Amino acid sequence: MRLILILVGVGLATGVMAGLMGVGGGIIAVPAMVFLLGLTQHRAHGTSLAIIVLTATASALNYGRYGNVNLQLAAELAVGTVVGSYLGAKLMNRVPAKDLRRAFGAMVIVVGVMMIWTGMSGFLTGVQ
Amino acid sequence: MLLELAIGVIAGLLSGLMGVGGGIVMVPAMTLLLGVEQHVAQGVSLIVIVPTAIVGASTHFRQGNVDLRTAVLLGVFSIVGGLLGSQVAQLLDRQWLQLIFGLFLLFTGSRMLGLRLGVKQEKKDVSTRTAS
Repeated sequence: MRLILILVGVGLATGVMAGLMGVGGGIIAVPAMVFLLGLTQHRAHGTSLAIIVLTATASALNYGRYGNVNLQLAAELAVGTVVGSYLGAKLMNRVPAKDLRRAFGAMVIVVGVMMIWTGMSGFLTGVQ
Repeated sequence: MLLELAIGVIAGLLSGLMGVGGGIVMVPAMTLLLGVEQHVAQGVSLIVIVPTAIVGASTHFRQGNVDLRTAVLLGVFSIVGGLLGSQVAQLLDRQWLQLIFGLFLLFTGSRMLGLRLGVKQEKKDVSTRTAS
């Protein structure tokens, strides 16, 4: 029973987050599988990617139904990500991951503040 | 065109290096740098994530790192969640989406800074220990 609740809860939370924000949802799925389901970090990572395929497809189709997609932009970005992922995998063991992670974390927080600012000023001016 | 490619490269690079998804880079880059509307940015991000995740998942699958049973069981509920979440996103104004996304960035960023000990950092510690 506990297992069913975990599966339903984690699955729904991962999906809702992904669909609501247009991201993969690995940040919920990976730790949940490690801590609640006992998967190793590696297996959780691989399994999370398989789940993301399903979630992102379903969510993307729903965005498409409302015309909230841009296929040309998606194609251009996708070409870039293929190159970037390849480079990332190559560089993985040659960069100080911890420092890079901290620097990127700080940048993510700054961008987060900018995003909240943009959203809030949208509320104030009432511009859609 | 060049800026779009560059954003893609950076998103791929960072997700490869740091294990965060590409969406966290792509969505803010599209809205703040390219001026793409928030809903569209999120939809585009999801489209780009699909092929990227397929490549990643099949690589991990060949290495035996996909737990199929868990993937199917969680996948079923995550599809339902994805449909729910994306439906809510269509109904919300872009300001709300940006507020939610901004908070998500603050959460993720603080985790990366190590303000709350994350799983990935423990893994990093283990790997450096075995390396040394």
